[in-house]
Amino acid sequence: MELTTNVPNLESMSDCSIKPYDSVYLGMPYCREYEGNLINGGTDLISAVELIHEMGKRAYVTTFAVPRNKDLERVFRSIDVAAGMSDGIEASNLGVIRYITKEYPDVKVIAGGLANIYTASTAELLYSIGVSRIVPAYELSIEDIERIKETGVEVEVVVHGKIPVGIGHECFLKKFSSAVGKECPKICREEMFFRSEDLVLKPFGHATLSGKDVCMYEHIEKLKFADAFRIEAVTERIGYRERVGRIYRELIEKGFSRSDLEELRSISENGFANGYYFNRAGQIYIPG
Amino acid sequence: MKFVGLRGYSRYSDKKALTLDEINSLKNVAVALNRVKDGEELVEICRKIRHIHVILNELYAIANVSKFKKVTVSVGMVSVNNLDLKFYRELNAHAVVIPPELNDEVESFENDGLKIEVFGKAFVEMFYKGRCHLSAYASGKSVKRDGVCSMECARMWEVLYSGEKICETSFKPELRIYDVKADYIKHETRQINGEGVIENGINNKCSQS
Repeated sequence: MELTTNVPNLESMSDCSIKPYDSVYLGMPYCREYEGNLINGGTDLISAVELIHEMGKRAYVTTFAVPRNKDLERVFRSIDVAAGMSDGIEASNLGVIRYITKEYPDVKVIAGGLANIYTASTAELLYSIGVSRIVPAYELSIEDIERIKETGVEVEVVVHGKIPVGIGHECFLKKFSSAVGKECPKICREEMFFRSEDLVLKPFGHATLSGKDVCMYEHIEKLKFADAFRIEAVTERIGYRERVGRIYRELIEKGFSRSDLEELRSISENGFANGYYFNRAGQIYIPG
Repeated sequence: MKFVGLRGYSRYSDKKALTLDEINSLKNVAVALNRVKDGEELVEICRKIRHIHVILNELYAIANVSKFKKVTVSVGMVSVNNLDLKFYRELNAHAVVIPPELNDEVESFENDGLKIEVFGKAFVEMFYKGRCHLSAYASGKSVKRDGVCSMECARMWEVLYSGEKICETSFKPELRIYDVKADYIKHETRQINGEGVIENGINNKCSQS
């Protein structure tokens, strides 16, 4: 089982935070303007890939989730760098996915969670044109994801962290710049939430994420058919990636620990959810 | 051209959608099957529709129904750049709907034979149409799969910074009218009914509807 995570920039890449993982996705897909964002390519991306390889791990490069025409030149440049030195490229835009499979047929292409792959039939089509791995649409249940796996494509699932509940054309934080006293891109370093009664969301760049942490620690056996487990940490504060990664590494290698589950609970600001794995509202948590 | 929804297959309202028999008795309509379902099922139901033009929201169905019908790629596929258009041309689609948020850059799209459809009137929402899981996250009702939106975006939200409330906001869909040119201009009406747009979402205690 491959344990993966994601990092937005070089600054977030300490050795200990990467240590528990087999592979790392480089770049923040929710906003191009994020400070030091590795999706923009350049020397930072080259250094990051080299660093990951020196640690004996795989480096995948992420691309901006919703690139408009004006963004394409930058996307092409970073894909060109990534194709030459990384172990794969993740894209959530179908046009970009098709571009990579055509122009770089030897590159491992990973269709990201925001590519909205809901059906085995879509997965089969993408697999036939060269997509190697799929992160299924976040709304899918375990049974739906198993059907995608049956097509032969590799499947990666989020086992812990905040999942996107949507992505839009504008930044969700910039409009609060004056209230917070921070402009773009500094405002992304601040922790903000939207709350309405029982519902909490985390705005971040063009995306808004679940306020709760999806946690499948108690249910990990049900996802064992997947090829990779992802810890979503791209928007998290220092320490989160390392602690959560260490706990899931222990879970994979040694099994369940009540104290580790409690530690996960203590890290989560707004509690746990199961996402959509059990065909219920994404914010509900069912204890194991 | 009018799009009509096929009951069980179109987004937002099975009350307003029509049965297959009702649709096949109409003249000169295009049929919306923009709910995400298994691709083979969509191909089969499209074979039973006598009209030539359908709108679809699932990649396998777009590729395969395009072999025998005119297929418009739904706005739910979130086509935002020329690479998307190139892909749908490769799949032999007839037209692609561009999200209304991109209306001011429609001229930058290279259609090369593919028709471009834009919104002349649309509700601009919290997220791109087709990239919103908020309803499913909050209440289990999925816009993409069940065709139901619980309008959680329209709630009044407290904005918390370092744990403290700094203001309130709402992401209620906003009706916009555009002066935009393309091959097809669409006028969205789905969220307008006798009661108006749902004020704060159907699960919110403050809802006015």
